[in-house]
Amino acid sequence: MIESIKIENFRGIKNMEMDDFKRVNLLVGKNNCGKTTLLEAIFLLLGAGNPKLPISTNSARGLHKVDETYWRILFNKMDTDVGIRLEGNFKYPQQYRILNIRPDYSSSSTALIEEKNGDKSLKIEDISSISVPVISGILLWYNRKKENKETGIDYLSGISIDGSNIKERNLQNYVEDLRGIFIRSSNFLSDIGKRFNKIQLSKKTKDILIILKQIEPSLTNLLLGSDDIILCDVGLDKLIPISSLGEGICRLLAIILALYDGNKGIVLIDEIENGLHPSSQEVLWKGIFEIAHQLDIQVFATTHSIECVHSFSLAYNKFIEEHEDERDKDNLRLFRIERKPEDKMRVVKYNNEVLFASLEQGWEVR
Amino acid sequence: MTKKPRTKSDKVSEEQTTTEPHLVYKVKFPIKESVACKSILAVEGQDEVNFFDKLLEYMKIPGVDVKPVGGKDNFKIKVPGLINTPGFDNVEVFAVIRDADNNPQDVFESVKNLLKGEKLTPPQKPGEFSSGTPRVGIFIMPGSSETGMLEDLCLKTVKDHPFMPCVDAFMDCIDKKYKAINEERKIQGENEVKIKIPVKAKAQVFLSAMTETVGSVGLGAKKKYWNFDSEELDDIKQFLSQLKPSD
Repeated sequence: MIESIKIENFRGIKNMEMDDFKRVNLLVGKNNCGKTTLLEAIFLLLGAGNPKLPISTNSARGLHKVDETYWRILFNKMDTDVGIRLEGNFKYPQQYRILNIRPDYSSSSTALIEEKNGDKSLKIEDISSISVPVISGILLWYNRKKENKETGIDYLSGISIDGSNIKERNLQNYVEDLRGIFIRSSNFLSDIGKRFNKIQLSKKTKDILIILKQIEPSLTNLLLGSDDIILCDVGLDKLIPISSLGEGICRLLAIILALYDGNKGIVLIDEIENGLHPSSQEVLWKGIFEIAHQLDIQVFATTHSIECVHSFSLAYNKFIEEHEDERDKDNLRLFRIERKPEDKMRVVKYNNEVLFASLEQGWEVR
Repeated sequence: MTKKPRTKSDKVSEEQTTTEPHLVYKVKFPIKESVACKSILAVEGQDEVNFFDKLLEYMKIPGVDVKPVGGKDNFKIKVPGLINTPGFDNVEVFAVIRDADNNPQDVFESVKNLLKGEKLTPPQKPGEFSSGTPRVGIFIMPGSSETGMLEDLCLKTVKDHPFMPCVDAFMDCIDKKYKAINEERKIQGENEVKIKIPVKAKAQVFLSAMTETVGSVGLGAKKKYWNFDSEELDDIKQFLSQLKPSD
């Protein structure tokens, strides 16, 4: 569980601090205010020992051509002279993480990162048609300070392009004790089969069905078919792929499966409302509050939709109505991120009561 | 901290309501525009909005957005909600007007502390404005550290109205009737009954005598039934005059 974060020179954010994170956090704000960047910053901190994660975040933004711009895009205003610095205060397990990212100038080339079923491979472009880039990769200095220790341990990792290969400098004898899952706004089905397999093996398919049936009442069973395709029984003669029921139910399933897979970790969901009717969004939020409570998961999601904000507020209030022990825990926050002149950022926080009152009043919160 | 949401038994009014069986929730669409005015006046309810909109119009002070934030129960969550609304950071003047009820000093202190908690700079005394950003003013009605509410102020403006002796006589008569009823109830061992807020009743009696009866002091203001020229409004007018935003 992350409690606070500091972000410096990462993508569109020059400098931003946020605190008071709760179990379930919804991020709103105008386009390009930094919502997705915040999710990415948390994700990088969670996997600070994994040098491939910056590549994953670039892929999620549709960036596949690895040239100098590919690396520069990670840095604020593409200025690699000023390094990226991310700091996160975590509890359970208690630790403070600092991740510094700097450009690596040691070698250079241009490549395309191809992603298939979650695995990444490298395809070098025709060398005659490209210019020679300067930055070949990034170096990651990571410090993890645990509990009450005065100083933390430093780790150095990196990733770069060397000729036709991705060259990784991985951490030795490093054990990651935090877990994070990032659900993209599109192309979110990559791990769905693997995650469903875990659910099937742990006999939790029924739990998933209870949630999905609220949207698709004819759904009576889910099974894993070949090639990690999830099949569903909707009372027809044959099982059909879940994807044939539409994007909304797949999105809902992908999020629910990620939550079950994110045991005691952090699940980050970009544009959570994508493909979901407002009535389904309330089902989703109810499921999120329930599962996050059961499995001790922290959730961060972004949205532009006011219906989604309403569903978030309504579902939480129903959830605390049904769970007396949760009523005084103050486990919800809505954060609005605002971009101000001169690279300033403003973060506005809403707790449950203030959010409920504002929505009831008809006041804008996004 | 977390407050139980409203249930069916709670009072709800206008606008669209979800059909959920166990949670009644008013959803107002479309969502109103973000805070767009440089000057915001937060008052208790819609009645106060009607009254102050009219008084500001009379005083020729345009550009003030009068927002209802509820009385003592809702105030603590609605004021932070208003302050959080997009665009509030561009506000130059923010004022709060609350009823004193039985304790003007306590109400002033609670408003002051709430605003401080929201990182605003409140004034040191009621009726004044701070020099913070935004400038913040607090007025406790009816003013002059008196107990009471908006209805007291309204009635003071018409204290010389020819109908007032009739209104006073009516209230006296009702008061005597209640005394008689309560003597009987005392003998029967029953609790005393009374008009909960006599000044609201008195204002209603006055309004009921107007050519077109209206049900609230705010609507009374719209109908020009209160005397906006009365010197009884000098303090509140002086306060409101400071709400004028810069051009």
